[in-house]
Amino acid sequence: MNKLFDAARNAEPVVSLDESIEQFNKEVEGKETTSIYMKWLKPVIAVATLAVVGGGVYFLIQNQGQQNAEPSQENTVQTEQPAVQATETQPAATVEQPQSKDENIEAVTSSTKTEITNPTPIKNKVTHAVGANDNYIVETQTVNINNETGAFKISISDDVERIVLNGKEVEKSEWSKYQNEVAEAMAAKSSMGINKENAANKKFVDYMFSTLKENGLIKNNLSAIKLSNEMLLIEGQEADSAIHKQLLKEYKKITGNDLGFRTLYFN
Amino acid sequence: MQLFEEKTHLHYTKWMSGQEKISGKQKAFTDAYQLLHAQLVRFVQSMVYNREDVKDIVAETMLVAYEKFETIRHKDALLSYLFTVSSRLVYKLQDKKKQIYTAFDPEQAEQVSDDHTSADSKVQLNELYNALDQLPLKQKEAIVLFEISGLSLSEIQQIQGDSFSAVKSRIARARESLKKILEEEIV
Repeated sequence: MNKLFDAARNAEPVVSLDESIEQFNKEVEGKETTSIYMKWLKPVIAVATLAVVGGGVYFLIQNQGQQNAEPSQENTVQTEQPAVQATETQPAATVEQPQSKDENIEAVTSSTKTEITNPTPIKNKVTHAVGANDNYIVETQTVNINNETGAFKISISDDVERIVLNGKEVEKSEWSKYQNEVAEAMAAKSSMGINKENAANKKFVDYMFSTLKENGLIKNNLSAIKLSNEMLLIEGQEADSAIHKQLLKEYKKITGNDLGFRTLYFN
Repeated sequence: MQLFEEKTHLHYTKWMSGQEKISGKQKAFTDAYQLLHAQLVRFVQSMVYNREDVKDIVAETMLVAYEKFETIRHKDALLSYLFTVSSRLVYKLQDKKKQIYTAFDPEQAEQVSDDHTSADSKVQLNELYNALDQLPLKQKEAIVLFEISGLSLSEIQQIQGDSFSAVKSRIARARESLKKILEEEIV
């Protein structure tokens, strides 16, 4: 057994010192290179990580911003839509007003050849410009009618004041020829206003505003008022029916006529 | 033995002259290591038989020891550390290879005999390695460290982490077992 151990003790090492140290040096060098590389790589990785994380955060913020922006765009659209609708309905209302009062006008309006347009402000308002002396302005309304005969401009206050056909004024003696057009215009006029030149109308307006003020329904002449046989609206709110009836009664008393189908707008 | 170490040292010095790029720590380590190289390699080759495994374990042992070299500058401490590390690596390798081969393989033993080893010596080495392989691993390790690597009982005690008497009796039992195994093989 000792002989065997001697053989083992004297056996040449299978891995030489040269070989071991060479391999060792290579591995140490490799490790140190890796260490140096890692020394530089770590900050690079850190910077890259920061960049990625920063980019991610930026992207998230941007994305969040877009998400936040999207509803506001929708809101914009939503808010714009009624405006567009309002614009679209206004001219229609202009045409509809005469139609609702007279089926003949509706028939004419529905035909492609006849068109009634109202150059006055929307809803045929009677413009009530309030000055220092509280001087009401009640405009004469002009109704435009286009049919086979031509283009009419019929100006109306309490009654027909002027007819223009194809740009030429029609003599009063000729007006009877255009009874249909005058009827259409009068029907349209019924929802318009009253002539500022008419003393009786002006008197009624004075009465109306003073009465409404006395009853505490308006504070000044700037209030928007809509008066018809059906209703009295002050700033869009339906007023007391007793006052409404009183105004209608006084209108007839002052002007000598029923309000009829007229709707008076004071704005 | 001493002649071999001197020869190895000359070899090392010659080799070192071509190494200019190594650091001071590397040089200090290799200076200390070269005196223990032969002992370490003989231990490892008696334990694992395969040349490539020997090479890997020695290289890994050197790297681990180099990492800790600043704390183990004393020669005796380095020897103990090198053998402790290599022993663990051997155990680790044995665990890995248990499922591949558990018994001594003469072909594997052939690989740990270099070309300079005589035919008689090769036969003897195969006989020894075959007998050693039949011992429990801890007994095998103890008797290899004591008989082949030439470590003292106290050094083996440090490596195996047991009491002095436990190491002493382990080596004695290993001797007895080995004797029986060799006698049986002769018969």
